[in-house]
This record gives sequence, structure tokens and C-alpha cells, in this order.
Amino acid sequence: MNEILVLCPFYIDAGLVSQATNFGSVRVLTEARNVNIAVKCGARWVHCMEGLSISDEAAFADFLADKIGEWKSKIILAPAEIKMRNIMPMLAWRLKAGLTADCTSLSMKDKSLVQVRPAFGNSLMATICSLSEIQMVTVRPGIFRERLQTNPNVEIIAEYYSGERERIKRLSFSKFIHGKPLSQAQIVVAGGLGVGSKEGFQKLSQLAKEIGAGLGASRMAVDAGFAPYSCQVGMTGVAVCPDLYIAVGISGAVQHLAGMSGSRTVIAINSDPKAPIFDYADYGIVGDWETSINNLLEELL
Amino acid sequence: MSLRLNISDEAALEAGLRLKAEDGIVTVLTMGPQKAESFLSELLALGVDEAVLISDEKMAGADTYATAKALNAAVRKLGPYDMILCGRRALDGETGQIPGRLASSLGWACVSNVEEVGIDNEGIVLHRRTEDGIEVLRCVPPLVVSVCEYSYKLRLPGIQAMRQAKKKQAKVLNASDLNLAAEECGLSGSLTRVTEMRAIFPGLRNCKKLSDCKELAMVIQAEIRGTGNE
Amino acid sequence: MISQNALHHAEKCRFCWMCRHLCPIQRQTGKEINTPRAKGLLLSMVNKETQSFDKDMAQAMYECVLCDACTNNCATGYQPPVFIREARTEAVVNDLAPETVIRLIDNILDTGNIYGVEKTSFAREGTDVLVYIGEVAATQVPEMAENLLLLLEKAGISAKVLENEPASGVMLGDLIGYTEEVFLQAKTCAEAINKVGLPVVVLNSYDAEIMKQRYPMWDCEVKTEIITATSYIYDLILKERIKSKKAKGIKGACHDDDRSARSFFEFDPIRAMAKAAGYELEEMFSNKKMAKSCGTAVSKAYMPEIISKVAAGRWEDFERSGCSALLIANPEAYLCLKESIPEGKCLVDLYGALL
Repeated sequence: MNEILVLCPFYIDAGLVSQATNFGSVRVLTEARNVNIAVKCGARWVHCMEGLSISDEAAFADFLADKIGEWKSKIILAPAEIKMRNIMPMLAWRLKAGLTADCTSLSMKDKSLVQVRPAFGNSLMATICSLSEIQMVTVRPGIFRERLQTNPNVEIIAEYYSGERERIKRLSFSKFIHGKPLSQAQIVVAGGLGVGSKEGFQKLSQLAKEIGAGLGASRMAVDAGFAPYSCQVGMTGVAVCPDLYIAVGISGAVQHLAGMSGSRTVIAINSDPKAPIFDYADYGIVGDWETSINNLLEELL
Repeated sequence: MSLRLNISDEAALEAGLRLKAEDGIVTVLTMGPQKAESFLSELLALGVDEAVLISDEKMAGADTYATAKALNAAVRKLGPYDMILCGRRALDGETGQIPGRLASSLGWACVSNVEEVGIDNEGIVLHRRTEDGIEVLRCVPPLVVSVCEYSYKLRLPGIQAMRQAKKKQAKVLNASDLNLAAEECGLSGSLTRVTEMRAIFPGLRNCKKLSDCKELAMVIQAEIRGTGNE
Repeated sequence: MISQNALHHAEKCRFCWMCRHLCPIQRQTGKEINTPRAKGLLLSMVNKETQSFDKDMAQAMYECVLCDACTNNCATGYQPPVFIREARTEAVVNDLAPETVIRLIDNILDTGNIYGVEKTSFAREGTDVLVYIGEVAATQVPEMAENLLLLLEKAGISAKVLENEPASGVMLGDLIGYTEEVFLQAKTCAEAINKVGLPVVVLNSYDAEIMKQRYPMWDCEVKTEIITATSYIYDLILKERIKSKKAKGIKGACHDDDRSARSFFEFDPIRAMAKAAGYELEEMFSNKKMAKSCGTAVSKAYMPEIISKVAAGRWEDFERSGCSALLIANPEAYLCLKESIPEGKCLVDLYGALL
């Protein structure tokens, strides 16, 4: 039986833990507050870290490398959030392992993990295999569905990270005011150049507020100064995979599609019936965006 | 693919040049086909002191492991350096693995997704963007930093500087300059293998055109309740 | 040393020949080398080392008014002005630029403007807006600047004009491409404007374009709103602060200048100005986004013969409209067109017409 290690010290991706149970017994490393999620999703061993504080991710990678030596893990998965995207490459170097970043699909063939990830801005899908003894992957967050299935033999083990080898000190942290990061939003309302102005984006953010959505923007809209860079969805911004993505006045450039094509349902509103975004949408409205949003707000209120 | 600085590399280079304005030298190091040499020499006009290209046919098809190994060898040969600044990801593969792997290979710390690089009398201060906020970190050299696109805008070269840069050239290093054996390079030195490439866009969908916002509102409400199409 | 980015633009041509028909210079000179397509080909030959970048090639790179009509109609979405500007940088760096061009660059670096003359001063204190006159109006078409200021005064707007107005950098940018020297001009200009802290009304759309679209890319943004003079006047007309004159009923056609047409997609304001001035409007051949250039001040300064022909070409378009008045609100266009006014036709400065 394979053993799969899922590293979730910062953010737990329940779907990823569930998916891992398809490949073998799952060992999860996570923070104390997320232990119940790991248990519910079928972990066999849950390594629980209390009050985890990390400033030097290289030092934490060293800690993990030592632990993995003890556990003898051969398959290591992690959600591709910002901190794990930094830690996994360092760990991979220590373990002399191949690492595939940002996978969107995983399967097992014999003892080998078949890793699929988009490349060249989603115009190609690459299938990748590791040649190293240890196989490592980061997975786009939210791509797998959560499945509840407690393992009757689950064990919870406490771990302790002292941080004594850390060379970096955190001086301060200013939390973004919006609740969830855009990459984890369940609904995203995004605007493009077609929205035309900062004021237009205020209207979109009104809609977003109404339906509990995060606000996104295309690169063109960000370049034009309509929305801040933190809203940018696409190859050079945030990748999102919400349940619902509403694209308003976005034509659908490849680099934007790269950031949102994982969405479950896509709605496009655009005045140009030939806009490529309609090819990548489940529902479309051809027409003036402002009228549509006004009508929509009326319907929803 | 055209060979050029991607926007996050541009930001990293500008961050480096601004640090240089205080004190120091800036070396640009990249790896790629021989053709990249001409674009590297463009950078000399921006105030870069030395431009180095690692280029060798043996290195074709390198994954992030083999690439980091080559960069490591070059850094050891050219250094010592206090800081290595990288773009946070390349545009083609966008794996974002090089900064971490390189840092680990050198035994250095690594901070990713940095928006601001500053220096004060106690050391280096970095502003780093995470999903939920901005961390301010105090670090000591040596250090690898990966910089976010758009955080710095690359300066324009001046005519005089371009004239002077004409006289300089990028340095090219090959595998033997770096004491790397053929089996450590490129495809044979890699730990991952691409087994298939499919040119299918995964996002193509059948779009149902809705006639009015009433219908649209119903779709949205169904999605919010979680009864939309699975 | 053309950048890979520029070559990317040069090499993606798929020979549809559209730009060949649209290029105002090619249409007047008839030279194959004067098409965006040919210029791109030349640069890609240089890159492949089958041709060296010499004086003739540099000359060809300057025989272009950077009007962007080719970009607007390029089937593959590439921007010839991107590589043409870089080729000019290359020419200057290698001392290959034409004599006439070098003289202008020296003038700019010595005196701040290409003409190497004292600028008419329009300096005044005001509290509503800062009016940016620009060097073309200040040295070549001062009557247009005067008319604009008078018009604002009549509408009750208190306008400020800077004492020593710095250059926006647009002319130097056309001559040597976007380099540090242009950035330094831009920075000085932005700082002078920011010190005032009023919204800026920009008479010349060429200046407005570099301020609005380039300054932010170079981290030297103008912090207040930048408004083209035409759209500012348009607004005043809508607010009825400038009274319409319904008297004349003369048939006129508007010329859309390059940057208003293709950088701002701004078409309504001059037409509204023309109507308010009492003109009966017709459209002339190739208008709005498709507007054909009549030349620019900077290109006229280094290749007057060619620009005379280009301007005459534009007059031909106009004559086919059957109108008698060619209506203009841009100092560069006015400068180029005023030389070759055909008999029985007139060239009208719309700011003056509204007075």
C-alpha cells in the first residue's frame, strides 16, 4: 500500500486530502485548528502542530526534510498556496526530488504519480512523471472536491517546531481587509476593460458584496487603473477556481483564461457577441454590461 | 517563445539596480539558448555591471532541478553575492521553483512574492505579499528573494549608456566552464519527465445564451444555493 | 540591438498588405521601403544578420509619422511604432540618424524645444485648471493657444499657465525612442504639473497622450486629472457655458488628429465644437479611428518636403467631401495643413471659431 504525505501547515485543502486517499494511506501535517478537517477527509495519521509560527521558510523546509526522513514518505503533496510554493522547491532540493508545480489533475499508475498541469498559459496540458525516488507535487487549491470518509484507525500525533534555526524575523503583518483571499473565493465577479472606469468597478463591487463574491479584474483593466493589481486574475495575477465566475466586459484573452478556466460555472456578460470569453462560458448575456448589472441587482435584491 | 525579460524579472532587476544605487555591483545571470546573448547585452545599458549567460546544448530540456544545479555552479564561480533577486516565476513554465531550489542548494534563506526590497543599517527589510496580507520581514544576507511583477518598473536606458554598452559584452558560460558533466545537465540531469503534451484548452464550454437578467439571476441564485450544475 | 520585444512585433507580419494601403507616407512617396511592413522586414533581416543597420535604413526608419494607422488595422495585432521607435534609438546610438534629425535633437537638448527658439509666454495665474500649451502651439501656432485661453476666459474658467512650461517629452520620444532622456523630460514635466495640483487641460493631444499613457509606465504619473482641451471644451458646451452660434451654416468637415483618433478614440468633442460653432457637418474620407495623418510637427521639422505632400494628400481627401471648411482643434495638424490650403477652401481653428 502506498503512503501519501499531504503538507498543509498553513492552509488545509480538504479536497486534496480526500483525493490523496484514492492513492493510499494518507499522512497529513497540519495546524491544530485544521485537524478535524484532515480526520473527516480520511487521513490515517494526522501530525498536529500547535501555535505554529514560521518566518524563515527555508528553516521550516529543513525541519520538514528531517521529518520526512523519519516517515520515509515517497509521495508528497501540498496545496499550491504562496508559502508552500516557496517551501516545496526547497524541500525538493533537500530530498533530491522532482517537483511538479500547480497540478490540476493527479492519478496513479503502478507506483508512479501521473501529474497533469497546464503549461504555456493553459494552451497546453503537460503530463509529467517524476524520475526520482521521492515524487513531489503542488496542487492548485480547490481543484478537487471534498469527500467525507473518516478512517477508523486514524491517529493524531503532536509535532513541535522550535524555529531555533530561523534567520528571518517577522516585524509586522498587515492583514488584507477583505475576508477570504481571491484565490479561495467561492464566487468571483470580475471586470475587464469594457467596464470602462473606476466607477464601473464600484458598481461591480456592489454586485460582489450582494452575492458574497470576491472582486477580480483582467490585466487590461488593472493596467488602465480601474482596479488594483491584487484583483488581477490570469497568468500574471491570481488563479481562481470558484464555483461561479462572472466575467463582465472581459473579452477573454488567453492569459486571463489561464487564471479562471478552472471555475465550475462561468457566466459572461459582454457587448461583443464574438468575444472569445463566450467560448469559455456556460452562460452568456450579450449586451451592455451596466444595464445588465443594474437589472441583475434589481432581480437579486 | 520570444526571449525577453518577463515582467517579474524586470521588477527584480529594477529592485537590484536601486539597491546598487546605494552601494554595490549588479550581475545578471540567466540560462538559455545562445540567442539570449543579444538581449542580455541590452541590459548592460541599464547599469548592470556584468551580464552572464549559461548556454550549452547539453542543457536543453532541463527541469527545475537541473536548472538550479547549473545556476548554483555559476553563482559559486562568479560570487560571492549577498543577495540573489529573481522574478517570482517564468512566463512559459511558471513553476516558480527556481528561487527555492537555488536557495536550498546554496544553504541560504529564501523569501518569495516580495513587493518591496529595502536596506537599513540593521540589514534587509522585505515586504512580502501572501494571500491574506503583507508581511514585513527582517533578513540577513545571504538571501534569495523572488520579486512580484509590477512591484518595480524597469528604468529606460540612456543614449550614452547604450553607446558605452556597445563596447561591453555578455559573458557566456558552458557546462564545462561550470564543471558540470553531461549527465548532470539538461534532460538527462532532470528529475521529471514530460510524457505528453496536449494542445487542448481545458476550459472550452458550450455557452447557453440567456435572453434576460431574470434568467441570469436564477442561474446565480441556484449557484449560491449550491444546486447549480456539477 | 533591437529588443526582442520589438522584433516580436516586426516578425509577426503575415503580409496581408493592409498597412501598405494605409500608410500616409507610403501613399505620398510611393516607396516600398515606406511601409510598416518593409520596415519590419528590414529589422528582422538585421537580426538575422543578412543586412546591416546602415544610414539608409536609419533614414527609412525616420520616414514615418508614427501615426499608428498601421497598428489600428493590423490583422495580427502588432504595433509597428514599437519597433520603429526602437530602430530610431538604435540609429542615434550608432550615429546613423539623418543630419536633419540630429539637429533637432541638439536643439531640444540645448533649448528644450526642437525649434531652438524662444517660446511665446502665456504664463498667467488661475485657480480652476492648469492649461498645458505645449511647444508646438507656443512656438508655431500661438494664435490657437490664445484662442483657447480666451475661450476659457469667456466661459468663466480661471486658467493657470506655467511660466517656463517644461517639454512633455513627446517630441524627443518620437525622435530618439523612449530612453532615459525622454524619461527625464517626462519627470520634470510631471513634477512641474504636480506642484500646481490643478486638473490639467492639454491643448495638444500628442502631449496628452504621453502624459496619460506613458508617464504611469515610467513611474512619473501626473497626479491630477489630465483632460484634452477638446473634451474639456465639449463639456463646457454640454453645460452651456460656451454658447452655440447657429448663424453660419457653412459646410465643414473635421480632421481627427492621430492621437485623438487612435490613442484616445476621441471623436465626439471636435464634432460637437464644430456644430456649436455653427458648421453643417459632413464626414471626409478616412475619418475617426481610420483617420489619415496629415503629418506631425516633429516630422515636418526634419522632412518638410514629404510632410508637405502628406498634408496635401489630406487636403485631397477633404476636397472630395465637397465642404469648404476643414475644421481642426490640434496645433500639429494646423501647422501641417496651413501651408497648402487649396483655393476656395479654408482651415478653421475650432477654438477661434467658438469665440
